[in-house]
Amino acid sequence: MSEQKIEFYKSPAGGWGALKSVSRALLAQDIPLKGAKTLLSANQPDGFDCPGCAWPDRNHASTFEFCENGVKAVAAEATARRVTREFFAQHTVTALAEQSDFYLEDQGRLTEPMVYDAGTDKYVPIAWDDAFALVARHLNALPDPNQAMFYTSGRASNEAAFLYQLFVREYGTNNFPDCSNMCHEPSGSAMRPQIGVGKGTVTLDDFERADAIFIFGQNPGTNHPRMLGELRAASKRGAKIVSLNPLRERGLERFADPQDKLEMATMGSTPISTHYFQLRVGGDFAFIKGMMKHVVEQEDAGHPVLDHAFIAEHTVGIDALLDDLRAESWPLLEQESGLSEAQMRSAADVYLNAKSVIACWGMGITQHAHSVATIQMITNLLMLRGNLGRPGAGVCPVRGHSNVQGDRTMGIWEKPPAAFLDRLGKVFGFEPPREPGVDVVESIKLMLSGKGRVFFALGGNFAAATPDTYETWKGLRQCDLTVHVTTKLNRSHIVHGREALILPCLGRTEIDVQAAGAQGVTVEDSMSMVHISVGINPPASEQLLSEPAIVARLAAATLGARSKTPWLRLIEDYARIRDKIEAVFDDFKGFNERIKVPGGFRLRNTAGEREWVTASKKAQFYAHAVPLDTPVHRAHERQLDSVVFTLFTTRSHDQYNTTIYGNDDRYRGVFGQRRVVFIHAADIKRLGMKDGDWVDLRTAWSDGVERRADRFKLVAYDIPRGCLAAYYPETNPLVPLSSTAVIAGTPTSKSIPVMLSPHVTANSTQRADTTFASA
Amino acid sequence: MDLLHDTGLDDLSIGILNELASAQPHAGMSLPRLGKQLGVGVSVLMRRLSLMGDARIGGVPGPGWVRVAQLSDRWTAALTDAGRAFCAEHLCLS
Repeated sequence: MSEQKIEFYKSPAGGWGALKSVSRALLAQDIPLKGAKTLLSANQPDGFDCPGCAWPDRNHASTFEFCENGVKAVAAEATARRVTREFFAQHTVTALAEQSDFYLEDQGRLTEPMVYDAGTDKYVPIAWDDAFALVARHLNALPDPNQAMFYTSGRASNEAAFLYQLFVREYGTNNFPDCSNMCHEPSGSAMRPQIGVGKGTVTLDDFERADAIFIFGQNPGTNHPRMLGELRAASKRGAKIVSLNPLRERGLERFADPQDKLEMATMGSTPISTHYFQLRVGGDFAFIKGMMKHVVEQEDAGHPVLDHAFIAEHTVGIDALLDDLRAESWPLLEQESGLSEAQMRSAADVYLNAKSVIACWGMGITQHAHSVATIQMITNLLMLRGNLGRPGAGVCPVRGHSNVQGDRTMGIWEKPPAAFLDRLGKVFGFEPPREPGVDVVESIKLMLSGKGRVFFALGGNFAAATPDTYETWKGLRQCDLTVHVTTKLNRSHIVHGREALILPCLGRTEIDVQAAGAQGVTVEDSMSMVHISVGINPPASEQLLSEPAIVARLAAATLGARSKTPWLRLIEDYARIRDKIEAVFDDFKGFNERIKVPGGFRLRNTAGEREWVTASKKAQFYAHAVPLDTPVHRAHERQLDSVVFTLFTTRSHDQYNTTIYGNDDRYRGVFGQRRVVFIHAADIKRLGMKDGDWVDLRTAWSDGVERRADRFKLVAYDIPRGCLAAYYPETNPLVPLSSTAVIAGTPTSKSIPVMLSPHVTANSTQRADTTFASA
Repeated sequence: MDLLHDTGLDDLSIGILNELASAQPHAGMSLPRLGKQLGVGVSVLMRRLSLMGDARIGGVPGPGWVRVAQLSDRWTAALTDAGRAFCAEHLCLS
């Protein structure tokens, strides 16, 4: 573990630092051999898909096409460490609750199914069939299937996800909370009515042709490192890269490609962003509107900049948008974006000078109250000049987990379209439930109401990923049964229901042998490429089952003769599952044949072809007013005698979603610790404190509930005044359950009104059993 | 070679055994070179080496014919004693 220190990071993203970090990740897991073996084939033809992020691969042929954080994800799965029955015999759950997320993850791979024994407060072994029977008994005892909730992590393969949604719908509910609810749900909610698809329209080829790439609220250096390769190439050929981010992020500034021998030998690097705008947290909406206002003013001044042909042929709603833009106030836009009119015009000029423009965005856009409107403004901006459905241009919501997009394609959705349910019912001979199910936040509310009684999670770490931590944990503990399919120990196994199961599964790096031989699974990346992934390493334990096998055996145990689906036959050969997927989804015609091509195939994207599957059969311009009634605005109005900051939660560099690989955040200069809060130096002074002081954070909310996260170290950072950043899950307790994105329901983890106070050592409000203990 | 085919092994496994048997005893062969010699990607090679090692996969113990090792930055595959004995019995070395 690193020494605790705060040290300015001078080097570019990637480079030697990345390679050293890779070596450390492997050595820390005692797997120099296995980890390197695994790396050699990551994302290669006939290899496996990195279980990390959803950024696509250019050609699936490069020998060392991997990134630093992908290595960490792969190494974490291929670790030599094992969590055995002896480990559980030595630790009560109460004792494990005192440990950090890093510690839990670091114990290694789970090896056999375990069930919670309340008498000893320990997990004890259980046979697979007994585990399935226990879940089946609980599910079949519920008076209403809607009292069960079935969570999905974005790691689940298409095959596992398809079987899972089929099982759950045959069981009788659409209760599918999933990780999309917490990340890109607003992207789909915004784009489906606007352009007819909920996915990005661009491919990697478009990145080669774009003249300008706008990156909103995204930190690819940590979250999608392979994207830096595309940005570096774009930068080298002279494309403009415009970054909008409250924090100075090293990966958006400079990048040294570890695969470029010359760059590595000369200690060189490539500048990434040609323009960097540090706007206020949540200021994107106003900034984009300012850019569009400049575009319209140019048009009105007699400089034809709009793509009138595209607008006339393909869109509706332009007049209302133009009127709204003309009437908008520059001072208001400046106030809300935190940047000047000149800066907005400058960004707009980059846009106007580019023939082809791509707009990318991440959680910095989606996890706000008005994220849906903001995304529609981004799409508006592109459509003004026809930057949609042509080479080098389009929208690019950058997804997180490796198959989060594929899971939604497979039907993991609490609000399934009727046509999909019709087809599913026809293919499998049953009547699917039609009532919409619950998403993540609604699931937590269902648990808290006492009506949510069984919680099943196919992967993930629900207890750590969700908002309003203590409320979520209260809900989970009220469940009759919690079940987690997982590869490693995490917080969600410690915060459990009255009965609880841990079901260990194969990782994606591992060879999955079924009756018909070794099996591969398919995944869909952020750009709708579907390809096969076949494991290469021996399984961590002989007792592990694959996720499709777990789902199928559970379905058989639960549904019995009620189901006509040949569950156990389907998992003998996953090609049979893919045949069924093809039968349900037209886009997967010839599925088994098409995945034989290295790199797989791309799903059709109608908006990319300028075919608009919307109500009007056109792409829709939306006019939105600048949001002035957000929780942050209201908190400022209520707390006149206090300094209210806007906090956004973020990952460290040694973290993937809720998985903590280490306690460093190299690019931000943080080492050996996680309880830090990034703040402008002038704000520290304003508080009468100094860099390095310890503070407690409290949410400025109006429901009378005290939400706090204690003992964070102030770190002076290049961030706008009034804004703070800190890591999750440590700061998730500050996000109120009721604070969600309009329409999409996504927790607003990127705009939490908070107040700071000096840390009080004797403060007893930090509950011992709820700590995200860390360094 | 023909004797090896009589064992029911697939061509890739036979190719690996042939290559490793012709390498210096105990020194093994670097993985990139082995992949190049056999004309297969490293992922394909590694998957096959996993199946030819001693791990239990799909409830079946591996034959334990090969071992992968790291020597500094060089990654090598080599026959084990069991692998050499198997090749001696079934492989017609010129």
